[in-house]
Amino acid sequence: MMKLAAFEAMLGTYGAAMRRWPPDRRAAAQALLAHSPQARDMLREAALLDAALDAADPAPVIDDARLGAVIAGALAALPAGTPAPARRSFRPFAALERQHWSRGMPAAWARASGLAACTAAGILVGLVSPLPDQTGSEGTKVETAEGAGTDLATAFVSHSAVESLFQ
Amino acid sequence: MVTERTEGRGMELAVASRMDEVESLADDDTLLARVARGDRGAFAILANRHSARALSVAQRILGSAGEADEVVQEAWVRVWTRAGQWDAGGSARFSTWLHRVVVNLCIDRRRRPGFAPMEEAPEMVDPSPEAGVLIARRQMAETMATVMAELPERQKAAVALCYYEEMSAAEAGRVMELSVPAVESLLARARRTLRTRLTALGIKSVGDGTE
Repeated sequence: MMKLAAFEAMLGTYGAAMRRWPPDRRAAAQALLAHSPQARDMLREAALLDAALDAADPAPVIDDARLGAVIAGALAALPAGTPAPARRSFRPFAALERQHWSRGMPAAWARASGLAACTAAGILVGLVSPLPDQTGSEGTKVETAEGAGTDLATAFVSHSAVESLFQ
Repeated sequence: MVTERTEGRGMELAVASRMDEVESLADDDTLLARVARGDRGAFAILANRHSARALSVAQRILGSAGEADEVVQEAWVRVWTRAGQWDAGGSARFSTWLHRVVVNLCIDRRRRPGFAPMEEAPEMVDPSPEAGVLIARRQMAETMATVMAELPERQKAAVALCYYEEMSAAEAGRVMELSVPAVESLLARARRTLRTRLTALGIKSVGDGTE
């Protein structure tokens, strides 16, 4: 069984929702919760911070229009011609990943040219967009932040308790 | 004649559409190989496949939809210019690398002098609660958005990946090029900082409200 200190450390890292915990730690935590009131108190406290984090989430709204505009902007910002040829001896992208913004395409230019290319690129995006299982952005679906799921936390923290944070 | 041309063109479009459907099933490695040869269609398919998650990650780190859009566009330009260096068939996943580029660009942007770390508070669209509760929720969201904006960049990135995007610490570690304990340390420090800040603001627990 998990010790209380270890349980507290896990709560302090991953929060109260067990779905965010490493799978191999969940059973031991549930066993501890089943008989430890202290553990349940700790879980409630962690759930409060989770609720605050959920309240802070900007819940990105990513619909087809936004997706199309971003992709059109990227297409418009691509340099002419073909990309640099392969250099197999390089570790892929290692240097690139540490490059700074200033070396890349100026964002303002990309944004400005994106508008001009929007119509043409929108057609292209339209052709490739119906990919419900591949892209996760099909049709008119709007992707938002995932809401709180049912998990161990909800078994011990009542909805009204979490709601009272806002009252 | 006009009709024939129109019909012919319609057929071309239909064929192109069917080809796109087939090509859209191509895996990331295949598409990247085509991008490396300058294939913009393959690039668009790849971008369409991965941009939603990339935008979500970027917006949650930057706290701004507009900034996130710019970062993701920049990341895709980098994909284009470096596609030839992708190690097809290697152990790395393209999405991991894309998220790495996005996260690093976000961190760079947040560190820029003049970056205004004002987070966008979430919209409260649920009309059912009473007005007072709605206002309290809005205030709480704004308070938390401000507190989140003050988190150090890497802590913010770890919270975005592990808490909001629900990646495992191992997956977030691959994105951020950190070990699992290092990611866990960032998460723990972020939660400690948030708890301390909320306590300092008089928000001690869920039951306390903003007393």
